[in-house]
Amino acid sequence: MRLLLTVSLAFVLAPGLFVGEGAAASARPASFANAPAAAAVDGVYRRARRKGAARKARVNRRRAGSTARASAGRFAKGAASPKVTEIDLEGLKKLLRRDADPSKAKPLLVNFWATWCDPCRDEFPDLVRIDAEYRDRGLDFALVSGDDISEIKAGVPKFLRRMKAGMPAYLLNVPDMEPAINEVDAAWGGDLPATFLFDREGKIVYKHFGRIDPQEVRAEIDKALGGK
Amino acid sequence: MKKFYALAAFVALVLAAYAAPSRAADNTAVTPAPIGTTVEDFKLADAEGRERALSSLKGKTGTVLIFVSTRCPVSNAYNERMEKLYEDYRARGVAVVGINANSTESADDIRAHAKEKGLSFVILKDKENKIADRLGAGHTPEVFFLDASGKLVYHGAIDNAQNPVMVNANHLRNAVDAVLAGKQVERADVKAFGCSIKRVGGR
Repeated sequence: MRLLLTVSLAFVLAPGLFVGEGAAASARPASFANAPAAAAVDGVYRRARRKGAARKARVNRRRAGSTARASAGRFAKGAASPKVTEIDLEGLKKLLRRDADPSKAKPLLVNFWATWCDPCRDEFPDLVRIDAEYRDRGLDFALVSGDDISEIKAGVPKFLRRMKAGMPAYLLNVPDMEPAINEVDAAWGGDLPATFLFDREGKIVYKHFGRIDPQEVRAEIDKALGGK
Repeated sequence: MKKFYALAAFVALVLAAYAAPSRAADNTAVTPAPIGTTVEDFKLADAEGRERALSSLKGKTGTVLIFVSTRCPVSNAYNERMEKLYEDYRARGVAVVGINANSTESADDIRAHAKEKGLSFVILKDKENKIADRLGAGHTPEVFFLDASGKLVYHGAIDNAQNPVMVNANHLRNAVDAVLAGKQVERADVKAFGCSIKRVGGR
């Protein structure tokens, strides 16, 4: 009896002790995340987030000041276009494995999308709302576009600007999509949109192919944030 | 004693909750049929509403099934290449059959689109996603190439670039040529980005 109680208490208080082998196998390799190039991507990521935060603050100020302008669905005239960073396969790997130290890493939500993809565009307002809600609560969010490289200064930033998207944005430019798709998740066939939530250890804890259900994503993010 | 059973039940519940396999929450993944699967005959209506059986459409040496869309820009980027493939290999006994499984696109849409884009190969309407589900098709364009015996020998992308001038790997043509030459397909499964198939009921 006492033993049963002890075991059940241990499960409740320290679930991490009972994580299976799968988690260890898919954990982020520290050596890779320590590479200097990873720091560069990290830098880009942080700068993009800072810029994103500043942009969000501007948007909030504008919303407070003028409902009419906010409802126009655009950033202020003359504001810089969102920066979209080109990444290759190595860049994608570094993006997915951001920090060598799991105690500093945050859960990461990654949305793969393209301007040509209808459900991607449809779900964007939900993604922007989720980013706004969780940005200060410890969630990293990255957008990875599958658009043609010719769109990196055209259609992609134009759409992000219209959506008021402040998340760090990347465009995946690779000669062969397959290694990139498999790098994210071998079970993913390449259909867009695709949304993945990585926990602090870099393990996929949630994935969705097709348009997201925002409430479902919020619940999964809450779980990932609560697990620290 | 009753208390003991109640406690034991609680403990069992806690154990069951934690012992469940820890896998990513995922209710939307579609797994394609493995290479080597024999695709059984099926019947679907074409864009004209006539029921067609795979057995009546298949080629003597192979059959290319391509999940297509009238609206997906990626699928549309391949219209000319799909038509050219059909024309280039028809005489060599390879059939090309389109399948539209998008619940948001009607038979009328398919007919009008094929006429506008000059697609002369047969396009079937997979109204209830039965064939998309059976083959595990997730997006458009997505190819399932069957050899003469109906065995799946290639799955995935048509080539490696949406922009035709950037193509430097013709995955599907390589697979068809290999089968025609009686050789093994070297790369039998190639992934690429595409538009997710809009299934009935938003699945």
